[in-house]
Amino acid sequence: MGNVQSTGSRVSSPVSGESSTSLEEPTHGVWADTLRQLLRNRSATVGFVFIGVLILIGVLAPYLAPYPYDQQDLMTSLLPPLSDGHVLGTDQFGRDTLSRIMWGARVSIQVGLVVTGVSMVIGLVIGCLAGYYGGFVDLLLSYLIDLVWGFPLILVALLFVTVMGPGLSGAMLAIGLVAWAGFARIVRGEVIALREWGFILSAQTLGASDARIIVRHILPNMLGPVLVMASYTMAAAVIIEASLSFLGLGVQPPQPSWGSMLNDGRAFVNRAYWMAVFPGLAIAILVLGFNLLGDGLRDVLDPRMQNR
Amino acid sequence: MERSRFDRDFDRRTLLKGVGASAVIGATASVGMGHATAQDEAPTSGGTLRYGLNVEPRRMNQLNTTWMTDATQHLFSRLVTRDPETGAYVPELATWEISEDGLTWTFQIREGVTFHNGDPLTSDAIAWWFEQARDPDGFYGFKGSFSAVETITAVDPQTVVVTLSHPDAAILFMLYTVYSSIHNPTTYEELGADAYGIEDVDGTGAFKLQEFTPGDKLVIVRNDAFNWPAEFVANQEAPYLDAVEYRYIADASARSAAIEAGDLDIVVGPNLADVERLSQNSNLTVVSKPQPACRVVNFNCEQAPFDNKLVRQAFAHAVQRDPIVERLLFGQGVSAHSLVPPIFPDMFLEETTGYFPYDIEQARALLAEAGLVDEDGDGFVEFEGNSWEPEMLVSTDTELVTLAQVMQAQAAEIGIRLSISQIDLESLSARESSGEFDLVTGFYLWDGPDTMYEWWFLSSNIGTTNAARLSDPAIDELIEEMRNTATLEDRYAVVKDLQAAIHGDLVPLVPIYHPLDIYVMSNRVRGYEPNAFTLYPRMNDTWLA
Amino acid sequence: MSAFLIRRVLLLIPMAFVLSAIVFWSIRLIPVDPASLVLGPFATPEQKVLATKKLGLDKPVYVQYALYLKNVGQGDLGLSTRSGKPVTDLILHALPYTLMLGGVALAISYLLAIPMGILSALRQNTFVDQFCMMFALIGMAIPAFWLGLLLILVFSVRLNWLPAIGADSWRHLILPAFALALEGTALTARLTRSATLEVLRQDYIRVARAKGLNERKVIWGHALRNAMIPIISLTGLRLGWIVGGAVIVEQIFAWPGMGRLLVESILNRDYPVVQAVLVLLGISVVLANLIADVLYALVDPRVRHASR
Repeated sequence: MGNVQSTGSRVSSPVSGESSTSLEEPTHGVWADTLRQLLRNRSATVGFVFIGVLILIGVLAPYLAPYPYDQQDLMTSLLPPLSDGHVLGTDQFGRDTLSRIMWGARVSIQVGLVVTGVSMVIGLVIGCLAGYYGGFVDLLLSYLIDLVWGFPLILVALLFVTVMGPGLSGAMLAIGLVAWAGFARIVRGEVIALREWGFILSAQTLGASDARIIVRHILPNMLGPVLVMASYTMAAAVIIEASLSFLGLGVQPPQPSWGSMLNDGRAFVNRAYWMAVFPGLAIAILVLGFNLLGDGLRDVLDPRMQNR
Repeated sequence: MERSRFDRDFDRRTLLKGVGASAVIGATASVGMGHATAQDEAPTSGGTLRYGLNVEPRRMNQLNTTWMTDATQHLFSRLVTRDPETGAYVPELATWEISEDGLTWTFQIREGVTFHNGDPLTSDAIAWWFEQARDPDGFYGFKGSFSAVETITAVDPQTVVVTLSHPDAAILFMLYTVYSSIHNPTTYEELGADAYGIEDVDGTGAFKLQEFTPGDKLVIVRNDAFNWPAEFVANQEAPYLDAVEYRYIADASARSAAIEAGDLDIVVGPNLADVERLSQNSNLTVVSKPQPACRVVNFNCEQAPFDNKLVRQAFAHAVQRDPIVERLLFGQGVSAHSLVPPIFPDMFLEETTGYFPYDIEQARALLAEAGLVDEDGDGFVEFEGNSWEPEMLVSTDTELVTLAQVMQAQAAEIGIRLSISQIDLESLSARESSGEFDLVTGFYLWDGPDTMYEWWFLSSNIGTTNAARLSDPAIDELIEEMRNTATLEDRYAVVKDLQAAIHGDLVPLVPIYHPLDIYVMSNRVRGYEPNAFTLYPRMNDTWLA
Repeated sequence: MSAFLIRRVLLLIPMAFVLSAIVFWSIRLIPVDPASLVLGPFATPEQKVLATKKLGLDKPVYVQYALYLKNVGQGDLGLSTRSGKPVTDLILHALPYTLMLGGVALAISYLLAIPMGILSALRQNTFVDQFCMMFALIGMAIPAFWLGLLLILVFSVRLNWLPAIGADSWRHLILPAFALALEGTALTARLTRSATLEVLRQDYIRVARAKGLNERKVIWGHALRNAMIPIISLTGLRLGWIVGGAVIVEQIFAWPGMGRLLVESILNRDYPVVQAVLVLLGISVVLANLIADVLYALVDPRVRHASR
């Protein structure tokens, strides 16, 4: 569980030697075209809607939520859904489930963004360096990538939480510090492909600096696969946050996270199914959304991966 | 279908009725449906009892650890035990006589008792145990309880004489706990203190250790030679059961599920929310007994502004116990106003129930008197002009995390904004020892609540067991007095004075509730009767139908 | 090829050192005192000092590490502070359980996923395909801990068909194995589908079809055999996923494997066990990835070229 690479995108790296990435620099026309294609792609659209709705709910939680997430009333605890004033029922403290799910969306999205952001940046840097310079640098970095790649993220998160104490901020960073290997592998493969196609050599002969080549020419060309990976990474990050909070090592109470709500609900599953069913559903929808978006992006941006 | 079922469960009246029913089960110690007929049936021998634990079994050498598990109760015997009906101290391995001045204790050891390896129990083993227990370089956790002991003499093979430097009635209590289990010195020294209790143990208990696989299971088997239980035990011979197989299941819901699925015969500490449902299951019997325990909120009495007792008293006024017991414990608990649970009538101080009743106005007044008022109008009081957010530590234990969240909400009502830090037990005790906290939720589980006052409030225990960091000369004096009493009556009188001073004035902590011990048994289990005076019930009378 | 292999295998040795050093040092950053763990909750400061000395924790960390390595060299992983048993014993006890659980989960996921994936590919864009792929997407979105809980509720508590916890018979294995298998099933089904589609599009299949070969022979004789290659070679990667999933699934089902050993040891600050288990799991994950890469290289010569 919770492996970024377990989303099946690993296959994109070993075959990248035959990358068909366009050598053209992307223009506005290309992007508009891509967007149109994305909108026509059913997976992407559905994924986009799922994610969009949940993000909106998270952002607007302070205005949308009918109650503060920590407002207790023990005398109205464990009310079933559709009770007076509590559409999704209440938990053991009498807190409103709907409000907590809305606030909980923030945690999941935040974790997803931080983890993906951190791992993407690290992955891009390391992948570019390895692919671009090759030789000993590549050997060393590939070794590092191999070391980190495939290591179960939940173990890293657990180790980190053990050392630093429970809480999400540290754990997010820790996961990001490990999850980059997926990005690095893809990026490295793409860069090697570009280099082998003589693309970089021609830029070099034209006198462009390494940094300029990487930023201006290489990065835009691998945006597709990286975005695909990012979407899958978001999905994995959401699950890992839920797992950590489920083990009681994530967000601190009374702050709600879907994982911690699930964990709370576990004890009441025979009495109050809504406590665990709705947050579980929210996790599933968000993860599904990211996976669908990833699939859609892949179909559109990465044509050789079609039908995967 | 599903919907209507759940709706029915949550019909208010049904719920309250359910709560009432469980409370009845709780109040009478060993009422169980399947048990009512047990008397008429003849016990049969044989079978393995499968027992689900809520605490993981660890090393079982009480001379170098303070961990304990149910099995230690059955593997070893002690010199003294307590009658389950009356709570009176009665002989187990020895009878005793205390001299008039309380300074000379003579133990007469029961004859015909053997260790698991066949060695006879003699006074040498008892004397050896006393020496180990009070060894200043040893790892025994309760050395302090035997600090009054001066000399230990094995007079003849069945007699040990212990002399004290001052009277100390609490020694009898200590001798009754599992931490005074008697070991075979020969085996102990052969294996060494580290391997003993893990590789093997050698006691005089009704069961012998067969297998201990940490993280998996612990198996004990019948000691066929056993015929020396205390007098109140019905079965004076070896136990009926062939074996008891213990399994540790960390998750309360999983424990409930396991007994419902028939994977286990007894489970301790089921999920509270499931108790009502489990007790309606005709294959199961739910038995609750009051636990000699208390859940509390400790203040750090060295940390401003909790160094001011007015602030602590204000907090005490904000606590509402009844909704906690009724709604969060589903009736499986008793409101606490003292560390001493009411099940110890000899030492429980009645007046404590009237101390610091729920009173928001009074709480706010006390806060104002201490200079804590809300001037910026955000609904929370400031301390010395700055916004104030005291930190409450809590371990990852679900029950305590729940308690912490309720405390947070209740404190908010009087304008105290608490933050909660959930950390693992080890980090928590480290921060507790060094005093880096404002509040901490805590609990004890110990069948000598009187001793808790010494461990928790003696000023010299700051940094170890005095988590509230209370340093009060009058309290220290009372504790010293308590330690020097010759009789239990005298001791309990001091314990009452301590309760008045601690809970009625100083408030280094707020007692919240006394939990119940809940046992869920399959109906094939007979003769297993939890009672208030042992942490764990004996198994000599237990058999499987 | 063999040089590539030897280099990769030799790299495992420094990798093991790096891993063990990281774990060793990070665990010792924790500001708590494992001595009190041995002694129990009522230990006095003097006892703690004594116990700390006995555990060798009073020495500088690098000395502790050197001593540890020396002992490991002699096959001694130390004693568990929690139980006092040799760590080697604990691991040898737990390992077979995890191998069993992981092996069965892996088998289940392949037995379900491969027929599903092939069927989807052969009936591309039909209802069957959409159904299978929807299942796969949803399967990926359901956290294993939630599934485990639901399985216990339904099959143990409500239906009373299977035991909820423990590891005494093959019946105990079923629920945890399914909980652990779901994510892998979903992923493998997707992978099988895409691999099969890709192969079906290859020239030699077209040629075989054009030659008028029997369609069944084309599919079973050529297409599937080739489609299996990426799937089989990805088995190595699944180990990481099994290990990650086992951590939580074993916890829920009280399955006495490595995952539970690790979590319990982390929660109890059992240094020697956490250390040994993390390093062992880390190495096995790295090893599995290595096997996956080697298999890939054997299957597809282009990779060797691209990845080194």
